[in-house]
Amino acid sequence: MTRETVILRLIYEAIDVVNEGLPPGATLEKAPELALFGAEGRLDSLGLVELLAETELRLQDEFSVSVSLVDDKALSQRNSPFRSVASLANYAAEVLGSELPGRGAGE
Amino acid sequence: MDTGFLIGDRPGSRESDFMSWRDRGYSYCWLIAAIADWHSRFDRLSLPAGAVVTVESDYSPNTTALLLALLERDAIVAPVDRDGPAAVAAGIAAVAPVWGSVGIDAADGWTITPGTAPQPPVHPLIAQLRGRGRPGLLLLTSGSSGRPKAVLHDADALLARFRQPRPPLRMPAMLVFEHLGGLNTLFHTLATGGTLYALPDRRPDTVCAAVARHRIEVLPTSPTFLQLMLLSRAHERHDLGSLGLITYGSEAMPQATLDRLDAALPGTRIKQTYGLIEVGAFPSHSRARESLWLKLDVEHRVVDGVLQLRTPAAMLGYLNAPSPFTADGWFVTGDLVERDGEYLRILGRASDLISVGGDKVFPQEVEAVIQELEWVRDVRVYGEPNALMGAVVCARVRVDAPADPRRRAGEVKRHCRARLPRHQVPVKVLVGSAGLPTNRGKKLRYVPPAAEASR
Repeated sequence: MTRETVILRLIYEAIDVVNEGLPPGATLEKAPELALFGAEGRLDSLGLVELLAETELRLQDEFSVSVSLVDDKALSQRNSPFRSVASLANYAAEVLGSELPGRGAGE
Repeated sequence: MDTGFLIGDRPGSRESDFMSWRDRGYSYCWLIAAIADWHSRFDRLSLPAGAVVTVESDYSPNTTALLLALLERDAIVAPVDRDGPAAVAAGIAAVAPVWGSVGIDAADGWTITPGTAPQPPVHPLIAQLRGRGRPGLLLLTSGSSGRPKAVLHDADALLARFRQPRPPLRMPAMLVFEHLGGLNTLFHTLATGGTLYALPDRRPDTVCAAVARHRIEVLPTSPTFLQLMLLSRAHERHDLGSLGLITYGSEAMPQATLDRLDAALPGTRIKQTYGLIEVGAFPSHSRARESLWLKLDVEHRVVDGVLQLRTPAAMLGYLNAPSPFTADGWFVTGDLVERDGEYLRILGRASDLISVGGDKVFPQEVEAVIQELEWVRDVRVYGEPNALMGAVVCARVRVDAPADPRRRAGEVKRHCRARLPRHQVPVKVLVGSAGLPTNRGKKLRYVPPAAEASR
């Protein structure tokens, strides 16, 4: 399984947790193109913060490194990494890549 | 109290709207008539001067009329957010003899419920206020212990600064009803003969659309909202050209956010405000629009790094906590500051309170709810710095046997969601069998990272 596939699976697990707190009609689909925050975004600020926190916990368990997805670097990008599930997965891979310099993406 | 200065008591302004609510305008004439209606209701009920009345509502035309009628009758008003936790109204009733509660519903209709016995005795500060024949404002705050404190203001003294005439302004109601900052926006708007725009929600797109549509001029808000606006890029989807001034306060502003705001809205003035529930808000001047240094227009001094203030607008005192005033009348703010000549920079609160996007969370309240789960042996709730919301609530839970910690963490969240307002629900729950620090550990508590913010 590629690191990208693992990250996507972990984000989907985090979505399961966030969905428990959402009303039945407002739950999130597990799809890369799902819009998270910003124009057409499905989450409000607290929902976004929870999704990111749950994702961070799972990344830490899976890869045994401390990962922070919400920092000034993330917030200052011209295209927010929190636009969609896919952009979040890309950003998480990028952050992990800098934390795990010795390991390749395909392990 | 004479409220003429709050109801368009100047030539030509009575036909204009004091509020836009659900896309309908309400004029100062409407307000004056609605205040008279409240007076006849209270006359029929023989509401005595000095009575403590809770107002459970949100910003609306009828709520504004009710607040002004109560001030005119020298009542002691306790505003409570209709959609907030029930603990607030209970907290008021625990410290003051409540005459009754006026609820204003989402359709702007009202109900009056008498206060229930047994009632607490009349606090000497309430007696003092009644003796002066002045109206009061009763609000709940919190202390470093996490227990909410009841703040009693002489409303006449608190609102005195609004008597000075200023040009009318259009502003949105951005802050929660029971926060002094929100009431400040309301009274400021009324005193200038301006218009307050009630919003259906406070999402960036909703707010920016309202600014564009109503040509709103001033946006009184928080660093968290500005952060969210920049992130969602709502400011690029709506024309914010009317916005002459953005003010922010109530939590630490990260320098990076301020820089981005500065670049995103070059035509808008940006100003930091400083205010506390105990002393109100007062004018301040930022050193530069992208600077966190500010000059306060109020008598102040710095003792051991902590800001102290002296102002006639300060509260009379707490109803359930020791006086925070020095013997010579200075209010000890609890805010750590750095000083450079006449400019100050706020470093953060010297307390363990968690501020999630400006909404306060008392760790002890959340801990008490988690303790309700029978398999929980111990719990510590603490704040973790978060670049988006300032801080988020986290919990460490100790169990006897850590079987499936993730499922247990899910149970903690579900339980908290059922029992607590959303911003108080921990976003991170860590379950394990390791012991937790036995002293209510300062090291676990969150100190706002304001010291980092200006680098």
